[in-house]
Amino acid sequence: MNRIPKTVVLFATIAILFLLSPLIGLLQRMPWSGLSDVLGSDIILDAFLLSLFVSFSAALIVFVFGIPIAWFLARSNFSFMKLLRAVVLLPMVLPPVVGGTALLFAFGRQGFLGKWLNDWFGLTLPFTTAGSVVAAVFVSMPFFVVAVESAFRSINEDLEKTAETLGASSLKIFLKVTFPRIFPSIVAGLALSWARALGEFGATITFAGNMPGETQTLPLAIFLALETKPEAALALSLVMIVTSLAILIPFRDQWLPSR
Amino acid sequence: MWLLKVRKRLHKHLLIVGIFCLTCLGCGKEEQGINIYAASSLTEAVSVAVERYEEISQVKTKVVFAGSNHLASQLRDGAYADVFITADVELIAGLGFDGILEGFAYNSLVVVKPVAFVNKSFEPNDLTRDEGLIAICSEGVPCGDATKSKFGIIEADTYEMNVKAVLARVASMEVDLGIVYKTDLKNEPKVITAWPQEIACPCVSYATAFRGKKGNDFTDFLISDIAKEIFSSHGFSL
Repeated sequence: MNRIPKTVVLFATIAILFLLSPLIGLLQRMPWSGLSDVLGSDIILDAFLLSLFVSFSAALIVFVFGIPIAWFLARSNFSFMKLLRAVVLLPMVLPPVVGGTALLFAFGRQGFLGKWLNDWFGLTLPFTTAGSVVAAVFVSMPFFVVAVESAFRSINEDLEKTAETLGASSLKIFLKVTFPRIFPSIVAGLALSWARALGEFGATITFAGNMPGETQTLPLAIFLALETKPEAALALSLVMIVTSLAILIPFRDQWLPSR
Repeated sequence: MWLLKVRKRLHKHLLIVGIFCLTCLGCGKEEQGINIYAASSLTEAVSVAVERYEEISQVKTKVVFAGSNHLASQLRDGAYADVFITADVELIAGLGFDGILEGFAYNSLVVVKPVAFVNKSFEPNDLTRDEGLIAICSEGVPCGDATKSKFGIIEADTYEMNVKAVLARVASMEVDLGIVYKTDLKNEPKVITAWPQEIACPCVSYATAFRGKKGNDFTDFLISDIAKEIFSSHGFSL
């Protein structure tokens, strides 16, 4: 490895300390002695399991639909491509609460699609776990698409062309040639979007509402507890931190794009 | 050549110092005027009252509206208010105010439906049935505690963090029934009472905490005839 310049070390240290200090603050205020009581409550267990279910379902949906979008954005010469990319990335900049309201306008009971879903299939998304998943997919999709699109762009297409001349079908080329090469980026993108889905708050509470066991994920439970039972809020935050570290730490080295 | 380098460096340092200074500028506390924190159920009435107060006393005001608990936790974490008007008097303890004015206005709860559902009839039993979507305030916030003490346990579909959120759900027709303050009914033309209801008990009592001369003066204004008229015209019981 090259020697890292001193300025870089300095700035990196400042940034790391900045990121670390709120975490230290949280841990230092943590009511350790009463922790087991708080953590044992049903509401916390419900919120924890629901958060896991919602974030992993969202990650699965993002995986299935995100790769085609990324592929399309990276490889097609569609003339409105820049506009299309901006639209796909929009949930990243949109305040989540606005995203949630927009979801209501689309999929709510009075929304232009939701009305139809309701009349034809008797399906209402708001106030259901499915609604929480929809909100999580909406906010976390762009993180996956960005990671995978840049991977599609960074690999050269020579291998694919060779496979094509050898008569492989395009699906086979994707599965056997392209996919293994973009795999690290897919994993990194999944980790990013899963983490975003786990922390999702604004769109969820606006679109899916707040109902213990059904739509009350950990961030919602934390927000409510912050105003009524601050110790419970801290304990819940600890649950979130431990969960995300447990999932994100194993994602190191071998799966990230290699140097 | 050497001097040029030094200059370049100097510029860089100056830039960094400059950025720091800019950041600091935003930190200064505003001392002028009066800071008012008020529960979200008071939004319309207090907005009007504050406007009148500005005219009368020529004092600038800054008003923050949010759920009472949310405001209390902000004040606990270092936000500054001369006046804190809350729907739960117990939230005032430990916030370092000089005095409390209790029960200067009262509010009570009412079950509402979207005005578009005017032909759909509901009855009190619908609150405990599984059909239809219901939004109420979450337990722990004032409107939620009041809801529980007046209506008992309701199986709602969403438990909101403040009463305005419940009102928005009903107004946008995302739910069939919601429980809000009777003052909200007056301010939001998109909702109507779900069935004829006697709005009897004063379920929520507002309290005002104040500090300093500015806070004291505003609290005096709150019990003046001018303010009383504003509050009663917005549907509050006095």
